[in-house]
Order: sequence, then structure tokens, then C-alpha cells
Amino acid sequence: MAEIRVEALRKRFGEVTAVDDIDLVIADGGITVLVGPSGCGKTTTLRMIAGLEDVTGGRILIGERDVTSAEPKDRDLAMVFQNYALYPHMTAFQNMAFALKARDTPHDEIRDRVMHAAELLGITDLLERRPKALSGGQQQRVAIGRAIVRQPAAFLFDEPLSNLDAKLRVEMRTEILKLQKELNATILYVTHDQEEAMTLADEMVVMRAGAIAQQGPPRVVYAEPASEFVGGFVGSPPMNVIAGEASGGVFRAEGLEVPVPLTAAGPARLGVRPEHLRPSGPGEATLTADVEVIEFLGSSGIVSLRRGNGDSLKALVPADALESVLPGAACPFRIDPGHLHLFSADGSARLH
Amino acid sequence: MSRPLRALFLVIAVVAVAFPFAWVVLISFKSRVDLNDPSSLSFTPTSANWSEVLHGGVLEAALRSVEVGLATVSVSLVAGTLGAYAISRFKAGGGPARFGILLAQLMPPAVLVVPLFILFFNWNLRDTIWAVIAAHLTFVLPVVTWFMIGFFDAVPRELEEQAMIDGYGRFGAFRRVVLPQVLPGLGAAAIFGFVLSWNDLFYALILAGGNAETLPVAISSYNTFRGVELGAMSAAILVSVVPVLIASFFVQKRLVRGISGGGLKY
Ligand SMILES: Nc1ncnc2c1ncn2[C@@H]1O[C@H](COP(=O)(O)OP(=O)(O)O)[C@@H](O)[C@H]1O
Ligand SMILES: [Mg+2]
Repeated sequence: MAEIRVEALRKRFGEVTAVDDIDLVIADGGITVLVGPSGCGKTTTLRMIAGLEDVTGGRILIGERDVTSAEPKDRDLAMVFQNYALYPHMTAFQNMAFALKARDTPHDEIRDRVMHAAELLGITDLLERRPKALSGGQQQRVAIGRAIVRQPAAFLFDEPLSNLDAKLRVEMRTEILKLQKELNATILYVTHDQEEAMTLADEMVVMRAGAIAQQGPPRVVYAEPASEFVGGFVGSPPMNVIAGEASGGVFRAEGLEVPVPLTAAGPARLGVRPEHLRPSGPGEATLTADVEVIEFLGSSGIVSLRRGNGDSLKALVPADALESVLPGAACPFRIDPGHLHLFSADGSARLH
Repeated sequence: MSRPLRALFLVIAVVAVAFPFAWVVLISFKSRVDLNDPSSLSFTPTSANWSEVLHGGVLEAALRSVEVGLATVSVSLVAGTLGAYAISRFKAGGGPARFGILLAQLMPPAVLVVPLFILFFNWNLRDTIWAVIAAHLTFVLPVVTWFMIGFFDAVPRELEEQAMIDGYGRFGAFRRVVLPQVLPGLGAAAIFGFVLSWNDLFYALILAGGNAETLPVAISSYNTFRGVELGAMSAAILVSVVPVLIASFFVQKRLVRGISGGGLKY
């Protein structure tokens, strides 16, 4: 296993700048997740690291080795594609043995390593089957097995769970976490799913339009989003944003006032996560809003609100507090002052 | 369509196709005298036509056709596969190449045959199978290439990328992972290309009408200055047609897929 470093990495496709000067360190023995909306350059970044795409500028280092212009086969990386890319004319065993054969590994060792990986993934019984005779989840396991067998410097995953149904996706997520711990693997993982990113990541890299919007452990990214974009992208339902003005330690918008640090002044945007917007007594209310619909989730419910000025908000309310919330009625809500996010007027910077 | 109607339709189709064949078979067993009334069903069967065909150079011509077909197809497979891969993966030649490749087929063969004739005359290759092979490549190679583009398009790019990450260069990945996926298509394209070459009369007649005559030329030579020798010609035609029938039986399904632009299942 090894650390991967990316310096000032850039990729242009004609007029489109897909990746725009990215600096990144993928730590040895951890999962780094690239996450962002579709088209933000995640796949392109991964493909440049894998050597499948030439770089327009910058450097890629694996361990201490500069691999910027090395062939994919000489980078000692393993990759799992979204569509698994299993070789259709080979059995699961042959698929997993393919890379070892390419490197002239002795027969017995190939057998041992494939069997070991197959046991880890619980696919020992499937080894003689062709990909066509495997379910999506089984194909996924073979694809991961094929990567593990290599014992590479690092693993690259490009949306490996996207083709699975929701239940299997959650199962495989846990499984990937377990495998990572067991192998102490270095993993660079790409997904557009912020929930998947948060559950898997040791280090989370949020991308937007070819650049890194924020990087850090999931907890930090969630608790202190660096911009309105990150705050809105990470977390579900997305963060509410209210435009207003800060002055003298108070943020004011139509129909609401909340205390903010004294340093903030001028037009600003207030970010409030749905779970920090709670029903309250009339006395301690920050704002009043009409309840439109309630989506009941079991332990909690998502309440859609509309304020007098037409803004819509969402609140995530624990089940026991849902009783006081009635669809069609105007209800008092309180913004938790301990969990405020204040962004600059254009949303690009975090003020508090 | 209801079942009986469909059955009726098929019967008519089969009769329409099979009837001329049956007729040709009958004629091939008729003597000159009986051929004065070609459609009559009462005659004394004779093997004279068949023995004339078998000893009169038709088999040699058929063998030559096989040689020409094999050579044409071999070159087309190698060049066509590599060219098609380049066009499919690297957009070689840009967008126009993909479709322009068949454009030459719109030209009447007559346009091409005169320059070819002069060329082979100057090179002393007139009336050799080399001239015919070269001429056949002008239409077999584009068709084979076009087929293969469709088959390569249907192979997911990730497959060869995976192979390249797994330890092979571009060519190794092509040979070990991509090629096996298109092998069935390659077989169909080969047989189709062979039949195209096998059936060609025009180029073969003009470029090699003498000692190097191919089977279609041999058949046409039964159209003599004394009139058409229907009996012998029919026997020769059967020698030519039966292999094609057998070949089409084996490739029909894949041929349809190739024409509809790949679409092999993975
Ligand atoms: N081969 C290519 N040719 C041209 N543009 C491309 C190519 N690959 C990706 N792009 C463009 O680069 C941008 C980033 O794409 P990608 O890395 O696939 O995004 P993501 O994986 O985050 O969804 C997109 O605007 C996409 O259209
Ligand atoms: Mg992508």
C-alpha cells in the first residue's frame, strides 16, 4: 500500500476544463472519497490517476514514484468500474486470475490468492461461473475480488455501487468498510452519493466544477461546510438557506432574527440544517411557517414549510415532536442557535 | 398475422425460392435434345452435363475462386479488424470515416475496372488471381471493416481499460480481451466477405477472363458463340450456389446483427 499524491492536476477536453488544478493527498491505509454532483470531474480525476487519461498539466505520485506518464499497467493500481467490466469470456476464477497471469505469477500462488480473496468475499461457489450467470451483486463481488487479488499499491473505485439496488448497496458499503480494515487498504473512492461518501470516508473531498470545494473528515465537512454549496450538497434533506443581513451581532431576514457573532456584517446567507429547525413553544420561536406536508420516516419526519415571504424550508423532526405539527396550520419553529452556518452573500465563503 | 396465414405465406415464399432451383437441377440432367423444350418434365436423365462440367475446367475454376476468396478474406480480416478498431475507439479519420468507408460502394464498378485493368496490364498481372484478389479487396475490405466497427462499438471500453490496468499494453488488451468478444462477428464477416468474392463476375471477367478464370467466369463461358449451353451451365451454377446456401445457413443470424450495427449481448 502507498500514499498517492496529486499536484496541480489539470485536464482539458477541448474547451471544457474537466479538472482544474487539483492538489490532493490520498493517505496510505484509508478511504478517501471524491464526491460531487455529476460532471464535476470525479471520474476524470480517477482516470488520470489510473493512467487511462493523459493529463493536461500537473503531477501524479504513487509512493515516491512519479507516474504522471507511466502506462496504466505500470502504476500498480487496481480499479473497480461502475459496470464491473468483468471479462465475459472468462469464468469468475479466470477473471480474478487474469492480472496475476499477466504478471507471470506461479500457478500455485495464483490459486491461493484467488481462493483467499474468494473466501473473504464469500464467492467460492461461484468461481466456475461466467459473468453472465452471476447476479449484479455477485458480479460486484467478483470485480472487487479481482482487485484484491492484485495486492496493489492502492484501489480505485468509480461509483462501484451505483448499479445495485438500494438494499444491496447498503450491504456492500459495510462490506467494503470491513475489507478496507482487514487489508489496511488505500482506497480512492468516487461517488455522487453524499450519504455513501460520508459513511465510507476517512477523508472526504467535495468537488465542484473541476475544483475541490472542501476537504476533510466527514464530520468536519458536515459540521462546518466551507461554502453554501458544500452545506447544501452534504446532508439530506439539504440545508435550508435564508438570505438576509447581519449587523451588530444579529442576522435579520424577513420575519426572523437570530444571534450571530459580532464580526459578521453586511448581506449574508444563513444556513440551517433541517435537524436544527424544531417545533417550539410560541415564546421561544425564531420563525413561524405554514406546514405543507409531512413525510413520515419512522423515527422522524420531514416537514415541508412555507414562510410568509414564499421561501420554503424543510425541518427534520423527531417522531415524538411531530404531534404538535399539523399540516395546513401555521406553526412556531426554533432555529438551534448552536448550529448556525453563516455564508457570504454569494455563498462562496463561510463567515461563521 | 394468424397462424394459417403465416403458414401460407411461408409456403409461397419457399415455393418461389425453391422452384427455380428445382428447375436448374432438372435442366442439369437433360440432354441437348430434351433441352429443346426446357420446361418439359418428361425426359431421359443424362449425366453428360455433369461430366462435362467436372472435366471441363469448372472444378479448377472453383478452386481458383476458393483461393481468391480466402486470400481476399484473410487480408480483409487483418486490415479490416485493425482499421475498424481504430475507427471505433480512436475516431480515426473523424466522423466521416465511419460511414464514408462504404461510400465507394455507391460507385459503379465500371468506374474502377478500367484503371485497375491498365494497372495490372502494366504490372504484367493481367489474367492472374492476384489481379482478381486486388479488385475484390476494393469491396470486401470496406464491408468487413464496416461490420467490425459495429461489433467493436458494442464492446464496452472499460473492458480493455481494465485489461490495461491489469497488466497489458493496448495491443495485449485488444488481443486478450476485445478480440474474443468480437470473434463470432469476425466469423460472420469472414463468410460474408467470402461469398461477395465468390459471386463476383464483373471484375473477374474483365481482369482475368482467360487462364485464371474464376467460377462465375467459367459459368458465363457456357454462353458460347453457338448459343447458351443450358445443361452444362446449370450444372456449373449448382456447383457455385450450393456452398453459398450452406454458408448463409450458418451465418444468417449474425449477419442480421452485423447489419443492424452490432448489438452483441455481453
Ligand atoms: N472524453 C471526454 N471528452 C470530452 N469531455 C469529457 C470527456 N470526459 C469527460 N468530459 C467532460 O468533463 C467533465 C467532467 O466529467 P467526469 O469526470 O466524467 O464527471 P463526473 O465523474 O464527476 O460525473 C464533464 O463536463 C464531461 O462532460
Ligand atoms: Mg463519473
